[in-house]
Amino acid sequence: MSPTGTNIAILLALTLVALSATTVVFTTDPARQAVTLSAFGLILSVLFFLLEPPDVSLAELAVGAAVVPLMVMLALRRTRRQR
Amino acid sequence: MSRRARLVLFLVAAAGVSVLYACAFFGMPAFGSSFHPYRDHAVPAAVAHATPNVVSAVNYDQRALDTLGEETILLGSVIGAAVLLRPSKEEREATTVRDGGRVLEATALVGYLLLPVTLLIGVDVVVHGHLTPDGGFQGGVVLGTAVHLLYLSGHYRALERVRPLPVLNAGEALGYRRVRRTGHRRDHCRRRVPDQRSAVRHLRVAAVRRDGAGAQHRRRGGGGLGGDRAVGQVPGTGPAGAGAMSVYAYFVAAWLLVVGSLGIVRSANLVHTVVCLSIAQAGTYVLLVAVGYQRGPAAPVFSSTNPPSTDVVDPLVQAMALTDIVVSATVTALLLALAIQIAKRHGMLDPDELSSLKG
Repeated sequence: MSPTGTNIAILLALTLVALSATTVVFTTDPARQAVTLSAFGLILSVLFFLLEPPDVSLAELAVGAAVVPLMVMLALRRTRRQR
Repeated sequence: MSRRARLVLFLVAAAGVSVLYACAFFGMPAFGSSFHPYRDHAVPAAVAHATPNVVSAVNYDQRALDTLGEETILLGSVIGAAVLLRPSKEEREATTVRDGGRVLEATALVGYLLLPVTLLIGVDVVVHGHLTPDGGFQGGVVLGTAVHLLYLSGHYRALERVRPLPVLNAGEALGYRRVRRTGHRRDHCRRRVPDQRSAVRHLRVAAVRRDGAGAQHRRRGGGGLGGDRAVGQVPGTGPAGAGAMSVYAYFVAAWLLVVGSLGIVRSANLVHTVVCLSIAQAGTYVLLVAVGYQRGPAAPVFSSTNPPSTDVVDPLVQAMALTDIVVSATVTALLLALAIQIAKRHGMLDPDELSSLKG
């Protein structure tokens, strides 16, 4: 990709990261939040891929976009059963 | 404290932190510049110890004490979560779990479609572990996620069958044994690299040259935003506009921290609080990766096709970002376990209602 193209892609990814983080925070229902959190992790891993540490991107994809939302969902299931 | 008072306190604190952050920002290297003093010292040090994988060298050698600290947090979180989730005296663990439940057909289909793909990706990452800067630990995470797709598509029984916990535990123990043995063989590896000294000398010279160039550009810039623009003009770095880019990149990192903290303050559910904390922590990954970013260079892993050079991605921030992601996940697990325990004890998750219980 040309330098300008990379710059634009990084700017776009940064904007999306900020927007999706705001969305996650203002999603009040934790069950819905697991979904927005997963999307946030996905966008963040795209940003890391553009910023060129591909292993950090892969770690964010595996941990941030999959495992953490899964844990949130499992925790919600447990807390719902208790109530 | 009422919600309004908390919000006011938060706004005051956020304003203070923003001012401090902005002050700190003016002393930071520009986004995407080639000024990476830590990288220039870490790479020769790793090559001197005959470690072709510099991120691993940073994790297990140069920052070994920090890694020990990280492992302690990990161990503490795992023990904490295990203790919190343990069934109490009057409880029994449910051994018979029904399959199914209410699972959308679309979810089940996506689960089935993704399962083989995810398994393949996981195996691919594991077998290429020696080529990736962190030894491919994500492969294990991807494999773990893959089998849990079965759970999401409503097949808990199948998950139990493909997840033989005793075998996995034994495999983990054997793996640790193997890692320790590999560590003991380091001297053996060192003897196998004949021209290592000349390579190190070469890298040191390159690093010193780079250091000199960096200092010069910093002097010319005189710090602040003007400084960013000056560094942006270093040959081999990006086009003009790097100044605006670094303002924006560092701003996004700060925004994640602030918006995550705001979520913690406003939260009416402890699970929501934990998720907001992880957003705030994501700000630190963005900051680390933004500091380490440089246009163009290769990954800090050396082989015959990629000979040792200091013109690589900063291994230090990569190692720190990886540590950060893993620690964040384990701390999230511990806090979620704590939330489950609170829900079990009190039947509620609203922090305001919970604090009213105290009196």
